[in-house]
Amino acid sequence: MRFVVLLLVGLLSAAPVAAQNRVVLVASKDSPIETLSSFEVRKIYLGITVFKDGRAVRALRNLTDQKLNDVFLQSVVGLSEERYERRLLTNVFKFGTARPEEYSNAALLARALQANPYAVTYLWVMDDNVPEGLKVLRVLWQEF
Amino acid sequence: MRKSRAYRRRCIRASVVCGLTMAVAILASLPIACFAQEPSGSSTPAPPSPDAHAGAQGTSSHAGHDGLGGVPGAHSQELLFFVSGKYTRLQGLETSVLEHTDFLPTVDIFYSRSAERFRMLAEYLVTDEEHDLERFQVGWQVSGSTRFWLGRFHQSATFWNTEHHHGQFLQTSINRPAIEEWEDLGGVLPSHTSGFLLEHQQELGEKAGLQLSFSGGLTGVLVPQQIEPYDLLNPENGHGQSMSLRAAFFPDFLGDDQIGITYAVHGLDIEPGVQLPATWNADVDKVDVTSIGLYAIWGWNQWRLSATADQVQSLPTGGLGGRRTTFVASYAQTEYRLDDKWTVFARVETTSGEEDYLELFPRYVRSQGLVGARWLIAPSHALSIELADGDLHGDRFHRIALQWSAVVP
Repeated sequence: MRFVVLLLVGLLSAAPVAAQNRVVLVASKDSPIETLSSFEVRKIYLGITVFKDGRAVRALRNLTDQKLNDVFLQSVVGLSEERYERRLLTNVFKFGTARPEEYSNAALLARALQANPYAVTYLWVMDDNVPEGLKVLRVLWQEF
Repeated sequence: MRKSRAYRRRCIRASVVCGLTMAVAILASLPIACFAQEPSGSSTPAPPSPDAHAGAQGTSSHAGHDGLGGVPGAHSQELLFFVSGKYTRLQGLETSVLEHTDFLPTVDIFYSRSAERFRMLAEYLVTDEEHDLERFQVGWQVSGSTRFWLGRFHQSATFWNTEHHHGQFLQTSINRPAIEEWEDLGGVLPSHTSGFLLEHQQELGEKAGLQLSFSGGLTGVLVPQQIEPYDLLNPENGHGQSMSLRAAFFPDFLGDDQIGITYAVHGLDIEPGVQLPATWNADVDKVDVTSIGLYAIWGWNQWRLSATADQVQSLPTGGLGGRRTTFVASYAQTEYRLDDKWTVFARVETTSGEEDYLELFPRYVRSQGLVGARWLIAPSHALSIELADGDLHGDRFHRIALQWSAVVP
């Protein structure tokens, strides 16, 4: 388990340096989630509950790379950072749900993914080289 | 002497709220990492790296998320402080008619906790004039699209109050439209209900959606010059009944744009000592208030428009009762984002129709026009200015308001 986490940390933090051609949605390899629609992805990242197998899917924000965050917000959520933060606040205020957890530390992000099979996040991958211990649920953005 | 004591008490309260506001403001300036709690077993996180490519630096944030030492994602909580300080200067009216004070510091404390299907939220407002548990709701997420709540909440038949609640930072303008005013600040419709709330969201096709909100329960009573909200902690103060509904259509289910209808029925008991309108019989002890409204929120590029029209009907009952009367209140607010920091806005409000019911509320502004600007000085801090020209029972007034508002963390 410790080895897998260490490997994940390395891959999560190294991925953006190598090449940045795809942004994918990932979960732990043990996750029972097979896929999420783009609509469901937008929902969970806007603080709206989505259930899979009766369990709430938890969105984790990957803030280890600014460009990754920008691409994700613009292409997937469709909002600027400022509008996104305001929308999250409004939804928290209305629905009593929590905002997606933010991680700017790859080690903590890797642990969170491993600890909860219903947690998902997004990251860069190159040439389908998915970090060990993770599985891709959906391609969110692709560089042409 | 009595005035002097009351003044001193107000000064003390104002000092306490100012102190609290300043403490929260100081906390706001601390790095977010101070609030973050890491999952158990991990070492002390380093501060966020300015260079993300440097790798495993930084930490997790959004304070309180799973920061209970358990499994990440098992449960979540939020603790937010909406703080603001508002300075108001009135011309043409006695200040005490519309505002009790020139400077109003406010702290709105919001806490929520969610675990799978369980939801709980509370909102506690502290100003130098009041401190109230505004919302306390316990809910169950029946499905991904349906929630059921019990507790005290903002009644469903309003867009403004269910969108911004008491968070001054969330609304662009400083003052809310008169028809949306809180009941204990002179608003003519009850804002709070203690009972049940059912919320449902339905996707329509690939993108559109429908949102329904239905609530019912106990509400406030009419006392001199205002509606006194039902106090869960002091239930012997009396209560009325309320039922409200809002249905909204969203062209983009996850977007802001929406058009909707609202409907509410309130039965308000009238406390002794209330100066009844001349057209009502002296033995009237209750009034039934029905409102039906239309609203739209729409954005085009940098523009955003919110508009509402409510028809309010009142029927005094008890004894010989009185005649049924109707008035219509409407407003339209437009906002234009100059850039990421600056937004300018303008609003017109008007009320027309029979005055009988409105005579019970001397602070209700019949018509008003205002312009203003909001400057987002930091992601969670804003400065706003607002200039208004209004009409209160035929008396014209001018008002300038300045506000700093923020949300922490």
